[in-house]
This record gives sequence, structure tokens and C-alpha cells, in this order.
Amino acid sequence: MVNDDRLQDLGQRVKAARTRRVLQTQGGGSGRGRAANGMAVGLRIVIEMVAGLAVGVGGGLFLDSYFETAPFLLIVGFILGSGAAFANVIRTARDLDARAARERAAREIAEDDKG
Amino acid sequence: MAGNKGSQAAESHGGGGLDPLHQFEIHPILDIQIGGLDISFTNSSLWMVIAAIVSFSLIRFGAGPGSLVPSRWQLIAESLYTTIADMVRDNVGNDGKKYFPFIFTLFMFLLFGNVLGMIPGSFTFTSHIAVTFALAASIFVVITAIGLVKHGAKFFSLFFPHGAPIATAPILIPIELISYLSRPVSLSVRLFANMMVGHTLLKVIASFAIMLGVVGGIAPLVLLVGITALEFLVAILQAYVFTILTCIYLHDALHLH
Amino acid sequence: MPQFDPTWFVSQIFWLAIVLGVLYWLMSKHAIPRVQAALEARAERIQGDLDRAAKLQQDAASLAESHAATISKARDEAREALRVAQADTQAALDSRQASLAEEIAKQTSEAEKRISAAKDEAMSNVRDIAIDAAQAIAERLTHSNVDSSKTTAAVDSAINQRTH
Repeated sequence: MVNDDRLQDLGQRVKAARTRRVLQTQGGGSGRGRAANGMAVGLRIVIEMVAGLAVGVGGGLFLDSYFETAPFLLIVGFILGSGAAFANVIRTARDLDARAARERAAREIAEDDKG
Repeated sequence: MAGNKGSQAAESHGGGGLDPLHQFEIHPILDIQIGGLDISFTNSSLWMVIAAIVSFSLIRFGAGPGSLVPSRWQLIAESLYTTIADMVRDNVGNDGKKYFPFIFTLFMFLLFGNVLGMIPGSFTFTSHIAVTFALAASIFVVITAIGLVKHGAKFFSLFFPHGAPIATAPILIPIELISYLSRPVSLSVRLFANMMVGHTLLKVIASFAIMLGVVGGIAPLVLLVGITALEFLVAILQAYVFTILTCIYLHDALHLH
Repeated sequence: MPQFDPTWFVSQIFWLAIVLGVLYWLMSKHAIPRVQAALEARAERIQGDLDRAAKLQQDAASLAESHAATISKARDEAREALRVAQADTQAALDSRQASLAEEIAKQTSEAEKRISAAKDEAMSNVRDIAIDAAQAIAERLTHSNVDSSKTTAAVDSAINQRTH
């Protein structure tokens, strides 16, 4: 029966549209964030490192001048700042990984939708 | 430069010399002094105002009558809105909704600050560390305050990673604290550095194109076109990155990891 | 670098705060609610349309089902009616055939009776003639009177022999 086929087809399409709608509105990460390209990632990581180190060194210098303990706190600040720089880099890398994974998942959903 | 800023500004603006850093110079349009502080309305302020007017107009008038089937401008306004709404939802969570207006304003302001800065002869206020750092630092302070109000003393658990041995606390806590404090630095430096480097590069290559004349200047000109396209991308991307990192920091403050 | 000239730090930060503050107020009061309203209206409309489409599709499916049921019921009824009509026709045909056969049988048996009566009559005529002829032949041959009862008996036995 031609009519029945068309009806079932319509039913399937309505269901698919509603599923898509749920995915769209209830989120779970629509993954719009673009994957950063190589240079941007490099720059980002460099800046994270420099920022951690700068805060460590800057804090050391400031506390040295406050407590008049130069240069001990500068050295401590430098060491801790290096640690913070690494912590920042690790965090950034983890964040980039998570973002890439989410983007992959979103792309898979989009492809499933199409197929 | 503090002494003769007026004349120097006029010179830098009109001359279009070959110094690639001239484009970052600030000159006053309206001198205002209050209590010994110079708060003159400058070209930087002017472009902030322009960016604000453009971003507000795009959303306010782009939204139009809010018809069911969007017009072109409405579609742009709505895409920007949903992009940031998705960003807030994905990166902050559902309790981030009340911060959406601020995050959206921030994004639009930075977006047009960056993009309008691509107009030749304009001024890019986001290429100034004073602006980006003031912005990043105040966002950082407010987000930290939000976290403290919401979680009280528990907020400080942010400075100690889950499951690390207690013995490592004397080292890990200062490191995490510095890492936390470095957030506004990296946030502001990233935006400032990207905008400044890009604009300087454009100016340098443009100068080459002019210096080398009609024949020799073709290669730098082609390069200039390519880099200009890239810079537009960077302008948009950096506004996006600044905003998304704000969202991530807000998420940390609201949810503590 | 002009970026590190502190002359304009205060001015930049001051205007940043003013402009961003005003922009925030304008956006949150006059721009964002409009976009939000349009988006919500559209989302509602789309959701409503989808829900309605799903409901209509279900209605259509159930309608198609009942339609199919009606058709199959009608087909069954038609088949039944056809069967009854066929049976009726068959019965009428059978009864007419039976009555015709009876009629024919009656007519046949009457005809047979008539034939057998005619045959009996003819046979008795033949017997009389045969008796007379036998009497006459016997009297002519013997030139004497022959007992007619003997002749009769002889003829009868002869007939019986022939006919059986």
C-alpha cells in the first residue's frame, strides 16, 4: 500500500526531527568551539607558561621588597612560578584535549543525523 | 611623550609613517582632568564608544521586530546570541544563565573592538595591555568574589588538587595559587599580544609593499591580503577565546573543578 | 611601545569601565530580551509544530488502521453475501431440477403404462387371432371339430414360450 509507506515515512521524519530538536536544545555540548590551529595552541601554551612564571617572579619581588628579604623570596617565587607554569600548561593541554574530544563527539552526532 | 602628546598624536595620526608602532599611540580628543587624574577622551575611548554603539545597534536593531522567520541582520544577531548562549551553557552550566548578559556584552565589545581595529586608520583598544589587563583583572576579582560568596571557605579547595597526598600541600598550594593568580595575566596578555603582533605585522608588511614600489611590492601585497584575512580570523577568535576562558573561570568558581 | 606608557592608563581604564558599564546596561535591558523573545517564540513554534506533526501523524496512522479494518469488514460482508446468493441460486436450481425430474419420471411412467396397456391389448388381440387361426387351421387339417379350449391352452403356452 503506497499510502501506508508514505505515512510511515512521515512518522519517521517527524520522529527524527524531534530527536534532533532535543539534541539541539538540551545541549550536552553542541561543540561549537573550533579546534585551535597549531600556532594558536603554541601561543596559548607559551602565554600560560610566561604568565605563571611572571606571577611567581613578580610576587617574589614584591614580597622581597615588603619583607626586605631579597633575594630569597624571588628565588622561591621563581621556583613556584615554574611549577605554576607547568600546572598551567598541563591544564591547558587537558582542556584542549577535552575540547577536541567533545568536538569529535559532536561531529559524530551530526554525521549520524545525516546518515 | 607626556609633555607634547597633542602635537605628537596629530603627527602620528596624519602621517601614516613607517613606524609600525605609531598605530598604537593614544592622543586625546577632549582633555578632561579630574582630581589630578587625566581621564581625557582619547582615540582609544572613541573606538570603545564606536565598538559599543555598533555592537548594541547590531543586536538591538538587528533583532528587528523579532519575526518568526529571521531577516539577514536578525539572523546575525541571533547567531551571535546562540553562539554565546551555547558557550555559557556548555562551559558554565545551567546556573551560568544569569551571567549571560555580561558575557554576551563582553564578547560583543571585544569582538567589535578587535574587528573594527582592522579598519585602516582606526584604533584597536584591545591591543593595549592596560585595557585588557584591567578587564581581565576585574573579571578575575568578580569571579573570585562570586566563588567565595557561593562556597565560603570551601572555595580554597580549588587550590588543592583532588586526591593529592597531604604532604605535598606546602608545595602544591602555592603553585596552584600562583597558577590561579596567573589567570588574569594570561587572559589579558593573550588578547593584547595577539592583537598587537597582528597589527604590527600588517603594518610592517604594508610598509614593505610601499617601499618596494609597484613591481617589487606585489609579493608583500599578496602576503598582506593573506595576513589581513588571517587577522580577521584572529580578531574573532581572540574575542571568542577571551570570552570562553571567562566562562571556564566562572565555571571553576561556581563548581570548584 | 606606546602600550607601556602609563600616561593614558587611567584614562583607558576609566573609559573602559564607563563604556562597558553603559553597554552592559543597554544590552541587558534593551537588546538581549528582544533576541531572546524572538528565539523563544521560534523555539516554541518549532516545538509546537513538531508536536502537532507527531500527533497528526498518529491520528493519520490510526485513521488508516480503522480504514483498513472497515475495508476488510466490508470485504468479508461482501464475500458472505455472495456466498448466500450462490447458495440460494443453487437451491432454486436444485429444486427446479428435482421437480423437472419428477415430472419427467411421471410422464415416463404414464407413457410406459400406456405402452404396456397397448401392448397387452395388442397381445390379447393377437391371442384371439392366433386362437381363431389355430382353430381354423386345426379344423381344416383334421376336418373335424377341435375343442376350442384345447386350442386356447396351446396358443397360450406357445405365447408364454415366446414371450418369456
